[in-house]
Amino acid sequence: MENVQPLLTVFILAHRSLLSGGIASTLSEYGSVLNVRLIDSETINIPEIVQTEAPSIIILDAGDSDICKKTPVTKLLEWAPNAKIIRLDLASDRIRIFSSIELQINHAVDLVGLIQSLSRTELSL
Amino acid sequence: MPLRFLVVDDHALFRDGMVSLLKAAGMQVVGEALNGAEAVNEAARLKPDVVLMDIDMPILNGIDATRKITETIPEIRVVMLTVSQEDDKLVDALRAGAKGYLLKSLSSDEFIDLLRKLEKGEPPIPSSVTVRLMNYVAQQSSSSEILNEKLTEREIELLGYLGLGYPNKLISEKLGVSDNTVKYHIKNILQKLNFNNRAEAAAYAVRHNLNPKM
Repeated sequence: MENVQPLLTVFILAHRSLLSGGIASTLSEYGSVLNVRLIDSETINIPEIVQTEAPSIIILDAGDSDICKKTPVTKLLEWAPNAKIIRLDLASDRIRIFSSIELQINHAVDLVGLIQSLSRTELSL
Repeated sequence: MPLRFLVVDDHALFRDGMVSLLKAAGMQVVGEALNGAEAVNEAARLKPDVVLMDIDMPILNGIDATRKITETIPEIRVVMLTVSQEDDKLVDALRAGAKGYLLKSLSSDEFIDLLRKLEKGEPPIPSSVTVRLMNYVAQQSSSSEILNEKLTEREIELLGYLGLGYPNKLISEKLGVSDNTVKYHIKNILQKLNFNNRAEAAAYAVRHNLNPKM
């Protein structure tokens, strides 16, 4: 039996951005591993689609101030806690990746252990 | 035959995206360049039908590169592709020989549709840019009419020198008149155009591209 990898769903959130359109086109060339969707932030309800379809990756253009204001990274991670957010910064030719970890904390002392783990980078984001 | 493109932008991610979009639309990309100087060389070497040119780039900017390309190989059509909404850049690009002006805030579909106009010999310019261009031209011609109505030829010439930042002494030498006459003309210009000071007059001259006869 052939080992078939599941498609990774990638959302690109944008509105009238050639950078995002170009990225969507480039990634679509890898259709055998990526399911790429260019989501127009003006016409599609972002919280709803992100919550219902739970994409693996969400890509944003840092230079698109409208989209960054409308869908801040913290909100996106609330709506899709397991997603990785990639923010493209064309001005500096860099990308920044955001993700989140959700943990149960019962006592303040749990926080101390967590802080120590984070500082020793045992807990990787 | 599909149009052959040279894509020029200093950001690799953007360039790659444009190449992918063009290819997906059935167009041919014959080369890439990451600054204006490279674009000039690659345009001469590859002779593409169209150069998609960013404006703000290191080494040589897109407007100067466009001027060089269109001067040496006029049959190449240069289309600016930029984030810039400034009227001055738009006008400078067209004066440099650009045949189109596209914004990076277009959707992919709009971008490709506008580029297809090149196949019919039409310029790829979005309607929003055309409107800006028309407003600019209208403003320029009404300004020059106002100037001609209000100022004498000598005053317009002197205003041009103010725009260049010349001091009175130098202006008097250029015009062959005394310092007092220069002061008199400047006073008249400020009064007629309702400016508070010389700096406002100089800024006006720069904005309206007033060049004295040198």
